[in-house]
Amino acid sequence: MRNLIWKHKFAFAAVTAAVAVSALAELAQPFWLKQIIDRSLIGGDFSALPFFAALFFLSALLAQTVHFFEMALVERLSTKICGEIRENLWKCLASAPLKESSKRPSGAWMSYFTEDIAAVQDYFVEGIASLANQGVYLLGIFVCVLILDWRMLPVFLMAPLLFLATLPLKRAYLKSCREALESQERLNGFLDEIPKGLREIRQFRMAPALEDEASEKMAAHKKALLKQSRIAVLFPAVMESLGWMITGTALAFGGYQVLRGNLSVGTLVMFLEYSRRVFAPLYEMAGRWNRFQSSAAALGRISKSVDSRQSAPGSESQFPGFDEAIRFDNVSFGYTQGSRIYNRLNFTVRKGEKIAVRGPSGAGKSTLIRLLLRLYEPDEGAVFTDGIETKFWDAKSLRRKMLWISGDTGDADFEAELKEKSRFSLILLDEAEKRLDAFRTEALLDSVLSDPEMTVIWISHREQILNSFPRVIHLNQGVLVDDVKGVRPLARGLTPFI
Amino acid sequence: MKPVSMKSPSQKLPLGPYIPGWAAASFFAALSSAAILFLPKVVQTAIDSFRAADAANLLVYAILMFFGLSAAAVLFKFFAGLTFAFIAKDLWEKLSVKCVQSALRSPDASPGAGLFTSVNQDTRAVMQFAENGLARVASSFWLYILGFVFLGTLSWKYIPAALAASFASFCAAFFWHNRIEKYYERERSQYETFVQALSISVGNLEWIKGRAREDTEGKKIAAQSRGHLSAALQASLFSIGLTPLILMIWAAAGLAFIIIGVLGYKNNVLTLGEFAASFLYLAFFSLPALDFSYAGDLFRRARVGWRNIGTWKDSPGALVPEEGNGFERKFSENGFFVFGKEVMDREEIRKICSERDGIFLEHTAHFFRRPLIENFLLMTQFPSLEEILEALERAGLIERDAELPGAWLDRDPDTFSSGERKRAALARLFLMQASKIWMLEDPVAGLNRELSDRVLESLRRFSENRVVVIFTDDPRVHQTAESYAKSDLEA
Repeated sequence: MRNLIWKHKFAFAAVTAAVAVSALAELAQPFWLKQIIDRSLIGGDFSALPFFAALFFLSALLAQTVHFFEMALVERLSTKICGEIRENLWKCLASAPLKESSKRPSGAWMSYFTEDIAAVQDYFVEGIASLANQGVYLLGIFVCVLILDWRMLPVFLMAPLLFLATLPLKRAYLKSCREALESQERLNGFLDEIPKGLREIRQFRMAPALEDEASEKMAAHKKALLKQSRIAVLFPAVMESLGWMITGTALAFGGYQVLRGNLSVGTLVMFLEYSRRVFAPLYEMAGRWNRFQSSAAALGRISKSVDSRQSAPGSESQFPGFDEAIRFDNVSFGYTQGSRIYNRLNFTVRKGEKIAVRGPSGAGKSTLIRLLLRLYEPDEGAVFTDGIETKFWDAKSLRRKMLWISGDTGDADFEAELKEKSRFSLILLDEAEKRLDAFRTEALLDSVLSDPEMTVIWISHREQILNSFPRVIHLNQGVLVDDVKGVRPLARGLTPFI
Repeated sequence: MKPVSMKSPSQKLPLGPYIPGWAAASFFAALSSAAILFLPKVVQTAIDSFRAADAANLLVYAILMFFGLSAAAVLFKFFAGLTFAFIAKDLWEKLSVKCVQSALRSPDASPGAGLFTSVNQDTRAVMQFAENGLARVASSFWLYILGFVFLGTLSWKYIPAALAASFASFCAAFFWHNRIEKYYERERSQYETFVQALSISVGNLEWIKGRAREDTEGKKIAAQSRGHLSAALQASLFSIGLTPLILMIWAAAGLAFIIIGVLGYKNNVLTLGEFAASFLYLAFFSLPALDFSYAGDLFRRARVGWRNIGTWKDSPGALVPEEGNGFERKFSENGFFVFGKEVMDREEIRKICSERDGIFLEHTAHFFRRPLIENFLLMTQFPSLEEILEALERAGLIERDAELPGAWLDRDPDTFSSGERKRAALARLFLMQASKIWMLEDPVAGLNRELSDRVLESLRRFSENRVVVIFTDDPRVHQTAESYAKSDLEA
C-alpha cells in the first residue's frame, strides 16, 4: 500500500512545489495592502500606489493559476493511484484462498472497490493535497508575521494550539466513519444480492420480507450517518469560532500596540487580514479534515484487506503435466471447521484413464475436482502428480493444464478450448451435461473419450454417461469404491437421449 | 388468493414535511450571517477609535462585542448545519427505500447493477446536496444579501464593483455547471458498467480461479475501471477550474476596492477603518461565491441522481402477482407433463409464469446468503417448522425422523453441493402451495436414482391440484413419466 504512494514521489514533490508557489503568491497580498495603507494613505506618497495595486492583483492571478495546475496534477495522480489500488484489490481477491474470500458476500467486496476507493480518492484530492496546501499556507503566515513584526506571533501561535485542542473529536469521528462504512458494507452486500435473486423473490413472494429488511438496513445506515454528521457539523463550528477568536485577539493585541505607538495602522490591518487568512485554511482544513478522516478510515480498511490477504508467495515452478498418475494420499478435507467431507481418502488416476464418478449429492464429488484444481487445499494428506505434491507447482500453471467444465458455473462455451485439448493433461467434467442438449452432450462425450492420451474425470448421474466409461467409481460419505463390474463395455453409439 | 396491497411508494417524493425544518435552518443561517457581518463594523469602529480620546475604552467594548458576536454566529451555524444534516439523512433513507421497493415490485427485468448504483451514487448525491449544498446556500445567501447592505454603509461606491464581480462569477458558475452535468452523467453510467462487470466477476470467483482466468478477468475489470476513472477524471478536471476563476474575479474586485478606497480617503469621504473593513467584506463576498459554486456542483450531481432515481418506476401496486387462470387453456387440466428441453422456451415460460403466478424452477436457483431456514422464512406465507421439515423430506434433503434436521436448516445454502442446492430449491417449491403452475427444468439432475424417484413421486402427488411441467433430456425421467401414465391408465 505504501509502495503505491511512494512510487509517485516525484509527482508528490511537484505538487508540493506548486503548493508553495501559490501559497507564497497569495500571502503577498496583505503585504501589498499594508504598503498601500502606510505609504499612500497615511504617508501621503501616492507615487508607488499603482505599482502595489498591480502587484496585489497579479499575486492573486499567479496564485490561482498555479493552484489550478496543482489541483489538476493531484486529480490525475489520485485517479491513477485508485486504478492501481483497484487492480491490486482484484489480485488480492483472486489470490486469497477461496475459504477466505467466500466469507463475505460479493456486495461487500464491491464496497471496497467502489465506495472505499472513492473515499480513498478523497484522501488524496481533498486530504493530502488540500491539507498540504493549507499547511504550507499557515506556515507561510507564521513566517511573514515573524519577519514583519514578531510581537504579533503569540496571537498566531494560538492557532495550532487551539487546533490541537480539538483532536479529541478526531477519535470519535474516525469511529463514526468506520461504523458508517461497515453499515454500508452490510447494505451493499444486500443490494448486490437482490438483482441476482430477483426471479426467486418474485416467484416465492419474498418482496415484503425483503422490503422490511431493506428498511431495517437503511435505518441502521442512516443512524450511523447521522452520528457521523453530528460530529462533522460540530467540528467546523468549533474551528470557525477558533478562527474568530484569533482575529479578535489580533485586534485586541494589535490595537493595544497601536495605541502605545508600537505598531502602524497598516501593519494592524495586514495582521487582521492575515488572521482572517489563518481562519480560511483552518476552516478549509476542518472541512477537508472530515473527509480526510473518513477517507483514512476507508484506506485503513482497504490496506488491511490488501496487506493481510497477500497470501504467501506461491511456488514459481510451472506444472508440465503428468506422465503416470495422480494420487490422493490420505486426504482429509472439510469446507467448514468440524465438518469432514473426506477422511483419509485414497484414490489414484492413471494417465489416459477415463473415470466416471457417481454418488449421492453432498458426497464430495465436486470437491474432488476442486481439490485437484487446488481451489482448496486438503486439511490433511496431499495430492500427488507423478509422486510430486501438487503444492509444489504454481497453482495457476496447474489449472492451465486442466480443463474444468461445469454444469453449474461458468459459461457453457468450452468447445473452442476442447478443440486444442492436447494443451490439457486432464479434463474435469462436473455434470457438464446439465446445461447441454442431447447432441452436444454426445459430442462432448465423443470428444473426451476418443483420445487415448487424455485423462478424463466426469461426474454424472446419468446412466448413459456412466455406462460409456470403462471405470466408474462410487463416492459415498467420503468413501470411494470402484464399481464392481467385470468387463464394462465401452458403450459407444449411444441412442439419442430422448 | 388476494393480491397483497401495500402502500405504493409514491413517484413524487413528498418534500412538504421538510419545509418547516428547512425554514428553521435558514432562519438560523440568517442569524449567523447577520452576526458575522457585524464583525467588520466592529473592526472599523476599533480602528477609527485610535484617534479618539477614550480610545482604550472603545477598544475594549469593540473586542467584547467581537467575541460575543462571533460566538453567537458559530452557535447559530451549528444549529443550521445539524438541521440540514438531519433532513438530508432522512431524505436519503426515503429515496433508497423507494429504489429497493421499486426493484422488488417492478415486473421488469432485473436491474443488474442499477440498484447498487442508485443507492450508492444517486441517493447519496441528493443527500450531499441536501446536507452540504443547502447548508452552504442558506448561509451564503444571507451573507450575500446582508453583505451588500453592510458594504453600502461604508460607501455606496463599493457596491457596483461588488455587483459586477458577483455577476461575473455567477455567469462563470452558470456556464460551468451547465456543461458539467454531461460529465457527471457519463461518469455515472461508466460507474454502473464497472459495477456490473465487477459484480459478475466477484460472484464467479471460483470458476475464474479454476480456469486460471484471473488475469484475463483482471484485465477486463481494469479496463472497465479505467473507463470509469477516466470519466471521473474528466469531470473533476473540468470542475476544479471554476474556483480559481471565481477567486480571480474577486481579486479584480479587490483592485477596484483599492482604487475606490484610496480615492475616497483622499477626498475625505472614507475613513481608514472603512478602507480596512471593505477588505474584510470582500472576503465575505468571495467565500459565498465559492459556496454557491460548490453547492451548484452538488446540485448538478444531485440532479443526475434525482433523474436516475426517477427511473425507478412504481409498479402498479400489487406486490405479488394475482392468481392466473389463462394458462389452463394450454394445459386444460391439472397434471404431470414431461417434455424434452428442445421445446423449452425460457423467455416464454418466464412470461407465462410472471403473468399467471406460476413458478419456473430453473437450473440455477438463487438462495440468499443466510441460513437455509431464513431463506424459507422470507416467503410471505411464513411456513411453519413442520411444513418446512415435511418439504425437506419430500425433496430428499432429510430422512423421515432424521436426527438433527436442524443442522441443515442452520447451514448457508452457499455451502451446499449442487445436488443439495437443487433439493433445497425443490423444498422451497413444495412450500409454495398457492401457486398452481410449476415449471421445472431438470428437477432431478444431480440426484441419484433413489432420490430422483422420491422427488418425481412427490411432484406427481402435487400435480393432482396443479399443472406440473418438467423439461428434461434425462431419459429416465421420461421413462418414469411414461410409467406413471401407464399406471394411471391401468388404474
